Amino acid sequence: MKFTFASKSFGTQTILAPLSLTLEKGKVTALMGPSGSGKTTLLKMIAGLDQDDTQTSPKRLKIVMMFQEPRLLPWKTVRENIEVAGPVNDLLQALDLDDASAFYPRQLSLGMAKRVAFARAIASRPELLLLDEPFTSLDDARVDLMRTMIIATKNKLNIPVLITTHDHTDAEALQADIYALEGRPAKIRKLNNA
Amino acid sequence: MLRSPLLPLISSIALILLWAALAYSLQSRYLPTPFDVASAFVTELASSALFFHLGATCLRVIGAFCLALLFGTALGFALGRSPKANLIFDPWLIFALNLPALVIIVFCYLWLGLTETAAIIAVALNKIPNTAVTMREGARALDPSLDEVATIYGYTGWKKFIHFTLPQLEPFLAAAIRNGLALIWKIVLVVELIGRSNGVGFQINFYFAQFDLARIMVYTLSFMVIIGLVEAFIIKPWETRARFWRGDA
Repeated sequence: MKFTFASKSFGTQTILAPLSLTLEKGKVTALMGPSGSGKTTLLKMIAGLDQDDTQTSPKRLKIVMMFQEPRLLPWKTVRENIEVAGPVNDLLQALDLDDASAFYPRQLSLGMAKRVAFARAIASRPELLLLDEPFTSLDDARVDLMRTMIIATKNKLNIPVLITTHDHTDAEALQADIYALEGRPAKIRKLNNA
Repeated sequence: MLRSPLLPLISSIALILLWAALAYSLQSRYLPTPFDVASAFVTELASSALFFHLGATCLRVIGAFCLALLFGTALGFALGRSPKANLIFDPWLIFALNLPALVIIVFCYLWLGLTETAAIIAVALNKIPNTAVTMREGARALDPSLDEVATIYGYTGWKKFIHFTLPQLEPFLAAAIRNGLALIWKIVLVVELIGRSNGVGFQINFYFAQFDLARIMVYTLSFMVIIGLVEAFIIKPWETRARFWRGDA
């Protein structure tokens, strides 16, 4: 899957330089860079939620993005939130959420809510999974659980997974191809080949 | 210590006792006793007049309420979602909000005649601006980040409205319904008093001419009970459910 974009500006400020990114099926790609470098903007452009300066969107695949904030529907329970995207199956158990199935989002910790958001993203059986800072607000045990689930998902569905992270350890643990967004406007640079 | 659910009941009984004490001590035709009202209630009930007039008023309330809710919600939602439309139509809304109910009623009767349609439209027109203002706030309070979630999971059109928009509007809708009902039935009485030949408002006017305050109270209290029952058994439970997920129910 290859994504090519023209530059991206907000007002008079150009955030992203023209860039091209290739994602491989069954592989994790990690996008790194300091805060404000345009990582989330790039993910949104890939997801079709935002457009580059030429107002073009990529070909519409079934692309699912998990946002930095969980963005659960507060009027639905954990189970119902996952069902928004697709069947729940064994996701509650796999993500250690079976006791919280009937809880409302306001009753969840941020870490639990992020796991629900991840379950919802997987439940939709995407063709491309975008995860924006999936490990923030998680304790070490949950980070391990989330990493395991990401690897299991990309293997099971044979899909590319693109994550943004600040932490090299995450990228390495996921055996990811690592790209960095650097400079202003940010340019993309490949750092390794997993 | 008294349990809190008992307090409203005790308070209501105290109010009736106060009324009875005043009425028996004054012995005035201008303040009937609870017994006078009860006996007038039985007479009106036996003659079926009470049901007939209550029914007529209820139908007008329902008709006007549905119209006001439908058009008020649509208008408020459109104004809340489109800043440009809001800029253009906000002065119209302020004008409509400040227009006295009586003026709208008189104009409707003059334009459309002393008809059922005119009566219902007059009441609805009185309520539409209030509903629109409440629903405009609801539309403004919609969380834009959830719009992106809807897009990601392929929710568009009616499916998006049902699953993403309506639940966010529900507390505002509940408030509009509750306030609407409280306002509409009062305006319906005025409409009936001026230009209808049946209904609670008509009966109040009729017994006013005869200085029969007991029957005026029978009709007023009966309709208040109906509104109270709708409030307690339909609106309140729905409002509680609509607010539950916010944790402020």
